[in-house]
Amino acid sequence: MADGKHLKAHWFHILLSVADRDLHGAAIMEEVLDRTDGEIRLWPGMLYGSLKQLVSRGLIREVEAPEGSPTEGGRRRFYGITARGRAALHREVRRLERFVRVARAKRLGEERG
Amino acid sequence: MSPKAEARARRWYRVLLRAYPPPFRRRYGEEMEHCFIWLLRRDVARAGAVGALRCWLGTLWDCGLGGVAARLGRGEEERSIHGGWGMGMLGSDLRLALRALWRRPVFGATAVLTIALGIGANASVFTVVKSFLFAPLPYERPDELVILWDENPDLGWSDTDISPANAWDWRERARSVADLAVHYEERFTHTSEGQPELVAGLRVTPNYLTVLGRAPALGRDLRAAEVGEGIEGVAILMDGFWERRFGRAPEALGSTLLLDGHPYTVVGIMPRDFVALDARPDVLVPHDLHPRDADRSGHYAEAIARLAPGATVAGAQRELAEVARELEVEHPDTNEGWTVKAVSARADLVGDIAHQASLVLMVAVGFVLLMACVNVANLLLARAGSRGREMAVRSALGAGRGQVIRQLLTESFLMAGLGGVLGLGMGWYGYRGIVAALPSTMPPVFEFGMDGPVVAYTVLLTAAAAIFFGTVPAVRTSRYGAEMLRDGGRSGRSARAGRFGSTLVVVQTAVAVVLLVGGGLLMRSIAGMRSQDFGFDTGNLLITRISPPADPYDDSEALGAFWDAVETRVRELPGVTAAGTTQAHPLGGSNWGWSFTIAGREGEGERTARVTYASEDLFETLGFRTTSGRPLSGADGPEDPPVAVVNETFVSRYLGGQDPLTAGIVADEGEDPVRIVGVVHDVVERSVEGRPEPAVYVSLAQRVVRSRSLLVRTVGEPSAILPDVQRAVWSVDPTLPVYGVDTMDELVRRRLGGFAVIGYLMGIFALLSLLLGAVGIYGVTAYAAGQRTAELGLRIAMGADPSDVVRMMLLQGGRRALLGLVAGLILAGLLSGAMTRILVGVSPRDPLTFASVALVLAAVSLLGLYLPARRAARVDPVRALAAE
Repeated sequence: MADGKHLKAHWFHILLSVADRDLHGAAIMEEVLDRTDGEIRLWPGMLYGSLKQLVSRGLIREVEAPEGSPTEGGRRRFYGITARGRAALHREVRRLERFVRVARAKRLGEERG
Repeated sequence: MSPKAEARARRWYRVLLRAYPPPFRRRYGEEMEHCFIWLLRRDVARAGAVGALRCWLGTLWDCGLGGVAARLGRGEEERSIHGGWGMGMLGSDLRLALRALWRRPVFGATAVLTIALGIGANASVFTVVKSFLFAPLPYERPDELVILWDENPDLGWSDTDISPANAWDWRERARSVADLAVHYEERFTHTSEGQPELVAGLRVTPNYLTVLGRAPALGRDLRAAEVGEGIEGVAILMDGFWERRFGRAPEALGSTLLLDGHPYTVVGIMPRDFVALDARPDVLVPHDLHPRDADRSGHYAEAIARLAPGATVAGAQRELAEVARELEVEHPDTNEGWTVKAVSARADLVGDIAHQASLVLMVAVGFVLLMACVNVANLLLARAGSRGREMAVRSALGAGRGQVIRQLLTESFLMAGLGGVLGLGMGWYGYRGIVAALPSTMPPVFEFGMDGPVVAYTVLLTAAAAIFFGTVPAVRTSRYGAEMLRDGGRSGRSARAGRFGSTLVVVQTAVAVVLLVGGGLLMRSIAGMRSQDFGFDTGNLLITRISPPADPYDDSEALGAFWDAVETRVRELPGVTAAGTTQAHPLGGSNWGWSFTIAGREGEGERTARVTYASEDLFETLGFRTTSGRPLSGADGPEDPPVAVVNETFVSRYLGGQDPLTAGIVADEGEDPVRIVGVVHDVVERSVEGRPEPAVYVSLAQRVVRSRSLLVRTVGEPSAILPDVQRAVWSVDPTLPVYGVDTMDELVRRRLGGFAVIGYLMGIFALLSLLLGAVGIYGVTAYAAGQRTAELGLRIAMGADPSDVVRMMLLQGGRRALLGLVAGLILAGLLSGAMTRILVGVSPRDPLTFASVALVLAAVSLLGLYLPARRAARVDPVRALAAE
């Protein structure tokens, strides 16, 4: 499914979060929640279930915690995107772009005058 | 969120995490908990309790599905945990589930309806109970409000009205009390314009509204100096009165009300949502006597206090009791034995009875839902056979066991969801029915409604029910599917399913016993209250109240003449056999008391009794039974030595064997004792559930009282004669309102109201549980019989008599029923103790009730066992064996 037609929405958002820097699970959850104005909420079970699978599919990998990152009392696993993940993300972005272009052509999503 | 709440949330989340397989939990658990707490904090900060609820619901869903999927996903890493729960998959599961329900409409409808009954009972009761137990009172920081009562354990007085002078001392001295207001109800005749109208007034100290933390919507609050004698009259209108009398015109502010002939300037108008605790006044007016100038022996007001920051109810109680002891020393004549009881405003307004009833009913509906779930689980289990085949086919076509379970659980959730929606609808009607039946004596501070929390609670309950009744059958069915593939279904499944079914029967029987015992005890309690000896005849009795104002009835002579004329005119009406007056009729809610000593027994200290001022004909009108001496008589005139009649409890508690007709009551030191001339049988005065209290009856001819109840004994329906009675009163004075119209039967019915509501609800739930239990027992026995068709056929073929087969099945099923019965009786014995406050005249372990329940349940179980057993015994051996 991952390498197939398109990415599941929450996988897409996880990949997007780690696209430019390595993050731990809670930070990914926060970022997605903020970016989507609370619309997409990765519940803990869903989040870590997805992270586990994304790792097993080679789309992301566990990385060393960055220097000086706060541990907040417990060990945090950091995740970074892999080349394969970046490719999947890229494909998905292009796919979405195509839809947006079509919508724009139909003059949707513009300011209403 | 407080650290304590957070610690609690963490603990619960860790419990939920157990849904995941241990390796997953070990690897991610700590981080998941961190994420969860972050989400919970955020939701609480944004939306408070609603946010917390939403977060928990989401988490429950997340852990439930994620956990199940992660466990089933062992070894099939490809099938994602949540990926498999994408909308597409959920949609297809739902479609399949709908189709499965549609294929067996009777089964589906039965299950949905059963769940709906359980959910509906819970939703309706929870809607009402939530208001009682959780909804905030409509005041500022309502948890700081306490209501204070006087108590005198020596005299057996509890929850008595307070004496304002004492209360004012509590206010000055107790540091745990930030402020305290004194209030009492008083009725006025309002004569500003148009018809004279009776107005319900609440006399308050000027700090009343500040103590409650409320303010007028228009105008101003009372000023601190506006209390006591000689001040200019001011009044604050309640919204309802403003609307009724002034049509919400703003000019009402500043206008003058004539109450009992005195002018009161309207200085404020309260907002619509303001309620005066348990009172329903039209106007608030200041005390016309400053509390500190009041006579300490007069217990006629109520006190509400606001605790100082950090103070607790228990702390305030201790300090106030200390102050009360100081006052006892300072004012021994009036305060001996009197102490204070502090109750939180909510507890006081809800009352012990409603509180306990709430808990009992919540437990009862919980049990009803449990029984409903057990029945549905039973139904699902009984279907495991046929579904097993279907699931076997599905597995053969490549579905994993996880998928099969998911499919079955979706069906459960679908059924529960439909049942939940239907139940919510039933609950809406149910709660409105309960609220309509609540006695009118309930304080108006409670608002009932099916709001967000109720819906959330129902959703949560529905989900819990789905998991409860769906999980075991789903797992069994899927296992059966797998076995079916292996060996054609001849493995040990039926034994296992049968065992589970038996356990369910035991649980159901036990729960039905508990509910039936609860319902039975309450029914007996209500029947007892209704049929108790009231000490007077409640039938054909009309009650009205009349309050002649001080102008023109300014002295006792004028008042006496007025009341004599009224009594005479009413008595002459056709259809009236007797008429009498009293300052307070039985069950009228009066709390008038008298403190006195017994002549010759002054050493025994001060005594207290309820006092009733009675006109000559009151005893005859009510049908009091004189047990010795004589009733009050017209011969006891104002100039004659004062006399009194007492009740039997008075004699047994205070006279210690002395002949009552030789005893006297000393109400005021130095005065001649009031001679006791007669004894009457105890009369139910204060409440239908209370115990008899000492009572004194004094002649109205010797002590005049202004406002009175007029009681009329009629030949026919009492309310039919009301217009004649009104005309008779108006023939004496056409300006007087006749109010408080009632019949005694109606009053008794209302007084029983609260108990009756609890009783009927428990009765309904008990019957529901009996029905569900009977269906459950029948279902399990029929299923077991079906499973054993071949074996029974063989037995009959080998020469067993069909009656032996019936006996065998009855014995086997009977053992389970007996086990459930005994467990239920033990459980009921343990739980019924929680009902002591709502049971009157019945022991919580009433043997008659327990025995009847055992009998009824045994009979129902037997029937539930016999019908399927008989059918099984009629099996044709040839066909039964051929089927194998």
